[in-house]
Amino acid sequence: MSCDEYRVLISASIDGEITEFEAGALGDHIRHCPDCTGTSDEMREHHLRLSQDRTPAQPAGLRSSIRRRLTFSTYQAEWRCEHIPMMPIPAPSRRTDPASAYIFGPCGRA
Amino acid sequence: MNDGQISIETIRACQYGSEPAFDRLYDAFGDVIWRLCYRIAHNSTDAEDLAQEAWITIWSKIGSFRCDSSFSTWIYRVTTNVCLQWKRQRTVNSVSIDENDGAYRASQPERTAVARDEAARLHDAVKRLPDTLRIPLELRIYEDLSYDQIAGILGCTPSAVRMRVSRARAVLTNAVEGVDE
Repeated sequence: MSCDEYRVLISASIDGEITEFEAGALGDHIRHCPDCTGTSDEMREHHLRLSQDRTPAQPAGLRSSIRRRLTFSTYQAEWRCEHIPMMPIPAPSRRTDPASAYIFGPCGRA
Repeated sequence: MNDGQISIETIRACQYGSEPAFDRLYDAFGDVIWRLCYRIAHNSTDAEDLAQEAWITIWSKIGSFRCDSSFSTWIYRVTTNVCLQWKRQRTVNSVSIDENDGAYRASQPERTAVARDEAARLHDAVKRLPDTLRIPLELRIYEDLSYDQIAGILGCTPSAVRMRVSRARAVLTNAVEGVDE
């Protein structure tokens, strides 16, 4: 493997997305490659520095602004999956076919 | 991700336009969406507009979400697409005030000038990364998502995410060292 390929493993190892086998190969390589050792140190330092960044808290009125722009239903009760109304099956207008009479029988009653 | 924070009943209720369900959804994902928008906009004013657009899109499209897949992945995907569309629509010459750099510098008063310069170069380099590299890197670092989760959001393979994140880090390393790509 080339150093470029090992650098992919360095990045993956920082993210904890590396297999045991890959980690072993990377460890062996880094012990003998000062360039990749330096790259590993730099990538880890950058990762640490960026992960310490903090996004400012969202503005206090943001939720209200969003709510004003959304449309809500007037139904306020708690919806549950089993409470979602089923669409009624339309009754056939004419029952000339005995098979369709069998399938749609109950719906076709007056 | 946040799948554990939101129930299937809440999602269903949102699909029927329930206002209380919206509040529960916002409690679960409000901060996530704000962070994604802020990382794209780099200032609070634009991020606020962007977050509003993201929520309007989420609310209008939530009816199309099928409850057999990850809801948080869907939320990230919709928000990312809104952010990218907003970025494409921006005029090339528009200038945004980056509050994050200022906040970062102000929070590090003890750092030496050299370290501050290096940190500034790093943050500047992140902003200049192409979206194909920056977004997977930021989702990994700031949202702590796995490569599998990022792949689900971006519609690519985990190995592609691995390559993009690695490439992004290589670009950042060169940028901080002052090496031209």
